[in-house]
Amino acid sequence: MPIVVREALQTDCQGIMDLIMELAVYEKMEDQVKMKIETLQEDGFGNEKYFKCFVAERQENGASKLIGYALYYYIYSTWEGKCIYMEDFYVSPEYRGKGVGSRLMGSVCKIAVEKKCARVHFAVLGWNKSSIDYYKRQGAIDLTEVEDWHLFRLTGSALEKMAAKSDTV
Amino acid sequence: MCIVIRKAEVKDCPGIFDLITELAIHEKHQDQMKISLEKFREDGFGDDTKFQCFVAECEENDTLRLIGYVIYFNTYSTWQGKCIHMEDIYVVPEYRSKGIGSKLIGSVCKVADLQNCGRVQFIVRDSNKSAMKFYKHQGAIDLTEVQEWHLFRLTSDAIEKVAAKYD
Repeated sequence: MPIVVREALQTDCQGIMDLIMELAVYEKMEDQVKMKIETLQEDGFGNEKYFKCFVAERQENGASKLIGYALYYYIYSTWEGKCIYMEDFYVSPEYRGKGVGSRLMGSVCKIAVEKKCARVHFAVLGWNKSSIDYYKRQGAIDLTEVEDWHLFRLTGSALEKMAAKSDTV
Repeated sequence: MCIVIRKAEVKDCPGIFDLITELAIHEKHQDQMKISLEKFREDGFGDDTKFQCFVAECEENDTLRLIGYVIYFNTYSTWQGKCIHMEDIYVVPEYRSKGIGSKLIGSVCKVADLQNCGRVQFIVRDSNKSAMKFYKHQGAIDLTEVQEWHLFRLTSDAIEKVAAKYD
């Protein structure tokens, strides 16, 4: 049952979409998923690429299936320069405990080392104790717990109201 | 006194860098500043730009001075598509409460609108009560409070250890 971890191709987008939905269900936020496969294909593999992705693929009886992924992009710290944000990281439950997650996250961290990124950031739900324990075992720091950082979002009408305050020349 | 909000230009880098340093000192993290002015200039205005910036400029007695800035970049949500992250927002203390912060954030939100970005996200320290109150008053949602999102970080040593597991 070999599992291969490799860079995603455009042809993987349907498999990645299926896993995106699995992850949203796991996080109890499936109603928030508005993504369409055409958008994912364009944004990841079009002229302007907004993210990169590693996938874990399993071959069985001549068929291949994506059983995990790690999707990331570059961000910027005014203190440390280029960094990476790991937006999604997921392995289907029946394939956990086999080191697939470590290989996916390892792939992202290898890119961070190659591109001289000082930090890899990601977000985790506070009730997701097994994931929090996993990340802490990898040496990750919970900045919300240790330094009190809160994540904020402007969206919808609040975003539009703020935009109306702009008088940029 | 005339205050203008405009897109940053390469000549603004020393002024922005001074403000970044001021903000780091304000947050008591000046020891974490590892970036040089030259690197900052390259990253913002070189061939492969890694961030965008608006500045607030004040003209006083025929002298121009930068008194605020906001730095942002594109991010991506697998649920909603293109988004924006606002990395830094800062106005020098003596120019606060004049609506400059709102205009700087507004400029970023206007870009989000033009680019069809559904979200503008940023982080705030819980101890920064005035900022928390300001953002909530503008309609921003504290995702940590409401949905329990925690921000995690891997730094260099941990990144290298995890990278060593890559095949």
